[in-house]
Amino acid sequence: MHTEATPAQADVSELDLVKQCQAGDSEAFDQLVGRYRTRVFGMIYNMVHNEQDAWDLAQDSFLKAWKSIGRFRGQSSFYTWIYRIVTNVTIDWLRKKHVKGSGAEFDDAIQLKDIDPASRTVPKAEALPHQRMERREIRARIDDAIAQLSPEHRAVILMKETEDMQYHEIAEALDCSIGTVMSRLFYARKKLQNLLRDLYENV
Amino acid sequence: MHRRFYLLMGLMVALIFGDARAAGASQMVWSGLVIANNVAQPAEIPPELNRIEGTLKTWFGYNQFKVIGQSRKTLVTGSEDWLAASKYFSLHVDSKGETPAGYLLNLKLFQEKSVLLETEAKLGKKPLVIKGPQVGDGQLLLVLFVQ
Amino acid sequence: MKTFEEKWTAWLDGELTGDELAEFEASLPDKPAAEAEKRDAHKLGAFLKEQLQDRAMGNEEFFHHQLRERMAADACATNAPEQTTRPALWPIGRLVWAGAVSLAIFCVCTFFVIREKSPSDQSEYLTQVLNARVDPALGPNATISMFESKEEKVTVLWTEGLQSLPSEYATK
Repeated sequence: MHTEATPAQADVSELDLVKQCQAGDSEAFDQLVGRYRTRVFGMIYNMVHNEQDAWDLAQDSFLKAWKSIGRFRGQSSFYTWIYRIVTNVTIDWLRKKHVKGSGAEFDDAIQLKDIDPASRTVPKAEALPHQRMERREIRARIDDAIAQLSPEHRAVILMKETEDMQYHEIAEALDCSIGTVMSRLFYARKKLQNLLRDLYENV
Repeated sequence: MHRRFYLLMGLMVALIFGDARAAGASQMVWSGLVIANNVAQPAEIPPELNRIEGTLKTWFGYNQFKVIGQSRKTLVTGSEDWLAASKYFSLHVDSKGETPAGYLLNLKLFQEKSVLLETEAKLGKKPLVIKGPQVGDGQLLLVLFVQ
Repeated sequence: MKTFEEKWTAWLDGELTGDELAEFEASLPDKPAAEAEKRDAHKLGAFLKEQLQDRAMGNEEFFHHQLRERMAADACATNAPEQTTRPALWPIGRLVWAGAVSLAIFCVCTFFVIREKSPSDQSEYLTQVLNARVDPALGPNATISMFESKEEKVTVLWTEGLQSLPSEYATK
């Protein structure tokens, strides 16, 4: 999923790709999409809990990024810039669906793949049926808990805990202050601890 | 005969309105402005907050709670009133409706002359805690419940 | 001044250093309990990271193909002039029909859908926040959330981003 180049090389080549995109090169943009699509899709899926919606929102996010790539000035990393677009698109979508901080509902049942597509080339032992059921139940509990957070709180906790983003990166992506990021983390962690403690203590 | 009839009618009207008033007068609302903070030797929690001590400590992370303003009033549907108040904060209420289990309220928390926060809430038997701004090294909380 | 929540979060994430760290740890009323809470939060973080690993996207090639098509379509829409002329207004007949349908829907909603709930339909003991707002002048970046504490059945209206005030505002 992540580039094989060293961080320095990756940054340089990424800047080159961005410059090429800004010159109208859609092939260069295709390469950037290839680098980030899995993380973007994963992040959106964790927010919206529906594959089709996550797919559409990922498309919308990249399309928006393509249309506004001329405005990227390199003041932040491209990664933070794209995440800002992704979170704006996703949070706007969630708000329009009136997904509230508590008592939110799923649109569709969660569908988990039984086989990781990455195992197409490498044989992988499948989980036993009871293990798959347990994983589904665990995932359902987590998604249910996350759904009880507001879109902004979801974004903050996912960016921090699953994407390992720093406070200032999250603040930039969400266009808010670092203090606000920290306050939201406080609340989101408390809430998820309250909802999931029995799960992570025993799994 | 006419006198008895009018007396009976008057009694029925009095009973009807008296019953309505009694329903309105049966519920007292306690409201409190609370400053929460952390100290080495915390004072005992005010008795009004005993029932929500766990929530206050777990969710807000403080170990001392001081009531800086409180009020205990019966609200009348359709009228406005002032509830808990301190030197810089005051709580205004517009009681919009009533059920046997509580009130439908419009609440405005004033910080001096400005409305800091406004909320429409249905206040039942469960307490309502509203997190206010940071004050010094503590936190302003607004607590309401029907007694 | 950092709020308690900000300091706690920074402490939890190992971002507090030097004097700030010493001061914060000294202010903790029950350090062992706080340390336990910190360990618990770390467990939560590790659990979420493990369980919410990047979800594989099925058919990545199709994703790229679809995106390229959308980019091309978007470019055409931007460049191409308006191909057809559309009438600015609906004809009278269509307007009348639309009005009649709207009125019928309104009547259905009024008489059959929007009914005043009887008290028995509503939970008697529920405290609910129906809506809330913060004065943008006093809290330009404020957000509001609501939750219910299960243990004591307390409804909490949680605000963030309100401007901090000096300690004199805690006066009775």
